Amino acid sequence: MAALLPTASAGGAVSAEVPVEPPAGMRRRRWIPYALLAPGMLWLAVFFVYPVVQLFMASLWNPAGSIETGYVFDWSWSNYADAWEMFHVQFLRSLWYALITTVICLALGYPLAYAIAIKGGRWKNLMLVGVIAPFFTSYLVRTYSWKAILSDSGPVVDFLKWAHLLGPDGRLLATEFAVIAGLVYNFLPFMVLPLYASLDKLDVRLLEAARDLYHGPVRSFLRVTLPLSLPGVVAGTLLTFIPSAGDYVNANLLGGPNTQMIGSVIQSRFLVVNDYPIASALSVMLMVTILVLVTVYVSTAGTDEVV
Amino acid sequence: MSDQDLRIENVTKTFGGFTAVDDLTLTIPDGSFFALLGASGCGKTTTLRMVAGLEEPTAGRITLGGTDITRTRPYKRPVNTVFQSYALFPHLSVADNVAFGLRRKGVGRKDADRKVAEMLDLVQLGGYGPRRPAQLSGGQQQRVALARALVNSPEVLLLDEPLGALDLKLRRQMQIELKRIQTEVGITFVHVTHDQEEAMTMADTVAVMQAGRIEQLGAPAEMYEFPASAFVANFLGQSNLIPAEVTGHADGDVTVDAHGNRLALPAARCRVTSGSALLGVRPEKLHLCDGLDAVPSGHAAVRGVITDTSFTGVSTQYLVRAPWGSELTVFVPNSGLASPAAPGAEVAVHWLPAHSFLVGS
Repeated sequence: MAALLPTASAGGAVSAEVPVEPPAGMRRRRWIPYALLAPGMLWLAVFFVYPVVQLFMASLWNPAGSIETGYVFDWSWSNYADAWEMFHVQFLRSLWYALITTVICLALGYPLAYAIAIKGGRWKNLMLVGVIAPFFTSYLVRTYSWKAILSDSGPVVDFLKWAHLLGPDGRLLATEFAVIAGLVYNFLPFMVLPLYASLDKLDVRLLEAARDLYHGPVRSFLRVTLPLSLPGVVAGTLLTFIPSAGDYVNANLLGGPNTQMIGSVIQSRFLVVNDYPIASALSVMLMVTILVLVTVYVSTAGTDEVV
Repeated sequence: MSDQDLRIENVTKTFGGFTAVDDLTLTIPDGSFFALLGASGCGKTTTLRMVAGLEEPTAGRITLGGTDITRTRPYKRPVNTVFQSYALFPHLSVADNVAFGLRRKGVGRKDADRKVAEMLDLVQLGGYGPRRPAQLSGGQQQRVALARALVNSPEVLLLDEPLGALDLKLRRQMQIELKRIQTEVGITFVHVTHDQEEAMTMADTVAVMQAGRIEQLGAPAEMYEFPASAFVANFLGQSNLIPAEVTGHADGDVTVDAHGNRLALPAARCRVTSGSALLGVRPEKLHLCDGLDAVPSGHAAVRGVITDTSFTGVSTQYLVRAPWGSELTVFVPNSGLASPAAPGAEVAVHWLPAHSFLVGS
């Protein structure tokens, strides 16, 4: 640093002595990047920043108010304590389900992404279409169809009963299994696609080099493939964990009272019970928690070294 | 020949319907610097990859020091490769790249650190250990790749066009460097290249490959002076090849008729001794003089007209049109002894018969 400083100041002195006037065309074009940013920034300001500020304000409204009578803003931090008191079970359950979902998605998604990227050959594009194809149908419709598949008189339950893997009164619907299965199904593509993107970039000649340097298939994977696909793992786990933690469709359609997630609670607080302050407090809590978890996770994974 | 020789016996490799290596038999002596030279697609890289274990031969066997390694997994062979693309691990530091194979071989951390440092010194990259490959120049990356392979003290080091991505000056420098390192460590180097000058500069033995087979194998100077075929004559340096018909034998000489010119050369310089052939002379072995009268006795000569001259610094290259229409290339050193000839000048091109050679057409 010390060695660099004199050079830097010398450079500064030179440019001060000879002020270089940029040509008129250059000066005129300087605003172009900002102009390109403007629409997106405006969109974010109106549809993200403003609502988030509103949400935060609403979480501090006096809970005595109601939609009919209106709310008073009076820094009611007690809303947070009340929200935690009432719903910490669902809150922690959501994070737990999201974690399990992420782990299962990674376990299923990594081999799939690996197979498509490394062994796919000319079937690569077809296999990728297979991963994306579910998006051609609505998320809600697909989850409803899972309800039919897992229903008490559905084929899966019938088979499990026949195989004596499920008792005569056993059911899948309204269990943790159904909710997590639904989450895994719905968010698997979000795991597979970033993993595919990073594995597809992997130079297979590096694997040859590893083999040449006495590393068998397993060790080559652990020391070369896995570290180099880490950016994909981080992106995939984030894209799976974050939406899973806030999801309410799977819990509502496939779960029961004992598998309720925080997303369902927020949804019903807002739209059924009309308890805006508690619903807002829960939303802010979820947002902040995820933000903290993600920050810790990304800084520990240290992907900046890899990419 | 010692017991540690690398032997390739009747090896064939086909990809679908394409034969990349065709019944190749080759012995690479222990401790030699061996170059596989050929144009792209001649099978040289495939041969190297089979020795490395990255491809499996369709037929034949490969032995190293008497042990059959044909089907041995690459990570179990005492062979290391310097890859054309270097294939350095981007997520590891230079030192970790070099230590990659060592650790796996069960070398302790302390020993490994010492060996890595020694090896980085050998390739003149001492102190670069903590850097990432992306922070190095192409030439430096090439050295890391070399160090990463050499540090394992393989019995054979395979080099797959290792200098291909470097600029000319750096390549020349690395050629000398590689030669120095090979002499220093004494490991067998098998070097694949398409650059004939590189092969001749570095290797003790060069094998010229074409279409999956070896055209000729030998010491660079021997091969250059007496190529086995027209292909080698043209691939290894430049040659003037004149179609000729063998007309007779006399006193250990072979006489040929080339476009009506009766020429003779020693039988020992003939790869063929009957029928149609090509008479070859290297451009630097051809000399120019004013006319046939000025040709020194004992030299073979033909008349010609200079059509083009180009000055290249150390020599001047002349194109001389022979009476039968084709052009001969003549290199005349710029020694300052002879005044340069101009295009259009009538000259005689002459050479010592012992400098010419006869190959099959």
